[in-house]
Amino acid sequence: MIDRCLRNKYIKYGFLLVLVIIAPLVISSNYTRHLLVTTFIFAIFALSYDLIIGGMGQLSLGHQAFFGLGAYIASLLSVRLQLPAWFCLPAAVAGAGILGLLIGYISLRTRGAYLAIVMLGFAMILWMIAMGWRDLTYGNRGVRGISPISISIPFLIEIKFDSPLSYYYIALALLLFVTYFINRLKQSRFGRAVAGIRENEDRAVLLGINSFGHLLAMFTLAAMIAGLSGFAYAHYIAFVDPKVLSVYYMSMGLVMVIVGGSNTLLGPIFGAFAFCFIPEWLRIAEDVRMIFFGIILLAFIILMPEGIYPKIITFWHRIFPSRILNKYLKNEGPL
Amino acid sequence: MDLQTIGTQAIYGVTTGVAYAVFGLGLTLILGVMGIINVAHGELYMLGAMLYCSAIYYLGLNYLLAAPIAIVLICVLGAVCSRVAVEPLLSSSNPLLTTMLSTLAISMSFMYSSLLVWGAQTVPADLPFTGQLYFGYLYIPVGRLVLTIVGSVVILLLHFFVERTSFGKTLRATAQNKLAATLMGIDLKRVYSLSFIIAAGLAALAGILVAPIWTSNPFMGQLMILKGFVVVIVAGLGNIKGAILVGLFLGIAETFFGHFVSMYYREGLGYAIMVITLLLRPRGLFYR
Amino acid sequence: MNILEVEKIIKDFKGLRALNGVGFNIRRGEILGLIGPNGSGKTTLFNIITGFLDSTRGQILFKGKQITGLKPNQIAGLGVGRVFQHSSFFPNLSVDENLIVARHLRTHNNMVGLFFKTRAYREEELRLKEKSMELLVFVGLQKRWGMQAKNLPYGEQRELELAMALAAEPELLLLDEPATGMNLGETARLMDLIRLLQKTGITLLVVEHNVRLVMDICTRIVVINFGVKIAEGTPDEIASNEEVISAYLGKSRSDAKG
Repeated sequence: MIDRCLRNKYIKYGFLLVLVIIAPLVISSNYTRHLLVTTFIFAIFALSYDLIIGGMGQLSLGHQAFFGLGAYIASLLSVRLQLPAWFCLPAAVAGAGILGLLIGYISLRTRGAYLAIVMLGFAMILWMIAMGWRDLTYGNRGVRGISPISISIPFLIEIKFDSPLSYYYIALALLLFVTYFINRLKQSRFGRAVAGIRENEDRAVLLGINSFGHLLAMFTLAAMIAGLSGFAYAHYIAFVDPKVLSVYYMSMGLVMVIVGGSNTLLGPIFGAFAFCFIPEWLRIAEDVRMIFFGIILLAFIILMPEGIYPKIITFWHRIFPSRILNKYLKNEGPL
Repeated sequence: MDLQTIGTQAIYGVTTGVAYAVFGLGLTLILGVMGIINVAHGELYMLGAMLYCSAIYYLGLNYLLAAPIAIVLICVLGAVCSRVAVEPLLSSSNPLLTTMLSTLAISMSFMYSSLLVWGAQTVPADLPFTGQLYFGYLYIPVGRLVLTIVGSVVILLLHFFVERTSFGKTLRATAQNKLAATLMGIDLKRVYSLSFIIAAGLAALAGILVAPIWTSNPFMGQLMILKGFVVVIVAGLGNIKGAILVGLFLGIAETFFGHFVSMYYREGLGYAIMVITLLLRPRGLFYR
Repeated sequence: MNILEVEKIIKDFKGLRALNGVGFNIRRGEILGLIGPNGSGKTTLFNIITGFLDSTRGQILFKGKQITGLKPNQIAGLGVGRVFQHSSFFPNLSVDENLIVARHLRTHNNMVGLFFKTRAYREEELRLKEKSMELLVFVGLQKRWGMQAKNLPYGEQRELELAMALAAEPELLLLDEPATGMNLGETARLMDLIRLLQKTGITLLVVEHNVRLVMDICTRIVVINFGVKIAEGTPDEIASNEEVISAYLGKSRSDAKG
């Protein structure tokens, strides 16, 4: 009976969902809740990054540009124009998407090293603009006083999502939405075509797939999701400075994707957890932390390039073997 | 807009260009022979400069002793990096991606380790070549003169090395067709290691040469690697001659742009050139 | 009725004229063989037909419509398929996933169904899987369902590629040296498969070095040498053609008659 329960997909997911929903109410430490929120936000970023690394098979060293742009759009609209969050969200996503479309259109004519470096170039340009155009972006000082997301119907509801506890649910909702979206995307005709391009571009083209168009579309989607994570970041941390466009977040994203498991659904999420929680347990200065990340990234690339998550899956299936082909249990589609 | 200003800027531009060219040469060499981008190249350059300055300042060594020691140390470091983090990955399914990630990881580790060791300040050093020379009405910092001369000599030597010597031929053969090279009896592992060592040496040399004229701090690698990327992309796949020309051009263009147009966005010029090159000639200017 | 018309194709690479006025037609439903010594321009011609290369001069008509200058994926969309000379599949995907991706031209996007998992969507997915299985059975790979493509032995990889090319349901299929690396038994199976394909209505253009295979299964043969067509006709006509025999230096003499 328990065996059948453990195998039923819906019961498993339902149980996890309940667990995740009541978690912040059960956890007493506000700091832990805060960590969970940042984990969720960066998990969204990592998932979008993996669309490029794992899904498209390309390395982009400039993905932080979309995260940062989303954060800046959301924060500047909120602070300068007093626009509410429900407006900032689509603006951030759309803005990041447009930038993604532009950059992708120019850069996706190339592949490999060129692509990676060009992305870095674009991100650098954005960073320079954020630092230099002080009239718009407040330069190095950053954007402060971003109003928190709030729902207010006079005399009925007045909720401000400005605490870890309340924002937890927003971040969770966004993460669940993005995860579901990406899962479905990878099983769509479009997602499969992109997988084909990644595996063997010439073959895919001969099967009628327009490689440039598909890659551009996927790239733009990745940019939009990264923009979404930027929006979530801005309205939670309530402070945005040029650091959001720096290679720090790029490295963070890379570590999360590679360590967690590229081209998997939960790998980047897992990587986000590892990234956000472990340093806090170690409580070390940022410089030393970055050295560790460098070493860990190096170790993983050389020794375990497929990431931790696939290993966990294999381990899980050893404990709970199934009569159905393993493939169908862990398989989320051709990707 | 007088002759003196133009002259000064031209000199500054050329010297900067030579520095970019020496740096970019190493990066291009690795790209050409191994087919990968060494993201840690900037850190090798930085460590070359830092070790050189530290040897002079903390150990009181003469610069003629400190320089070779620093270069040799960086070459050894380069060999280790190559063996550990690059060569094992060359046979993976996507060597470009994995080596970029591994060298990125190395560059992170190096940079933050340097921050720990030296802190964020410049290393003070009683460096040679800090005076100025007068040519007519032009002031030329001695350091820049030395950089230009030594740099140009090294570039010419390397060009000669690649084009004329037998090992140079080996390098070019490997760059063009690895399979054929192995069939001709070329030991790929040795070629890879040696190219990486040479490139590391070039990076360290670049760092040493610019030490008297620019600040030496743990962040200098991050700035320089971006120039290296521009050179590599604009010149095209592993093209040595192209890298030299593009490096020189970039140095001159940047200097003039920075002085006559805008200091703020000077750094952006390289990226702009890169983007334009990509739009017109996606494989680089000198790709054949 | 001509399904493909190759009209005076000239292709220059820097300083080398690879194809010099090659022209022939392929009639619907036939198997046309393209033979010639190495370097005669066969692969170049294939690349031009499928859109990977542009011709310097000349044009190609598919079902009466100009396809010269179109992009490869557009040409594929019109109904031209190709099996590569070297292994060309999706290595990290499983065998069935390879075929599902290959069905791209025969499926359509269903956004609403995708995100809301409607019944129509689910039925379509099931049909995809069924079609995948059908194709695998056709080439004899049904027991490899679920296996990663890169783990297949070489001969089966070639069969997978054939299945993938068929998944797109092309009207004209270009086979680029399909018998490469095959032994006698595998070659015989291949020949049966090709004949079976012809029965299903596909027109085939086969480039091959294995002269016996070509002589056996092709309706007509075109011979190219040094970028020029030197002969065209039925296998018997070709076998007794003086120029062809001399081009192959007598090797084809015993093969063709045997």
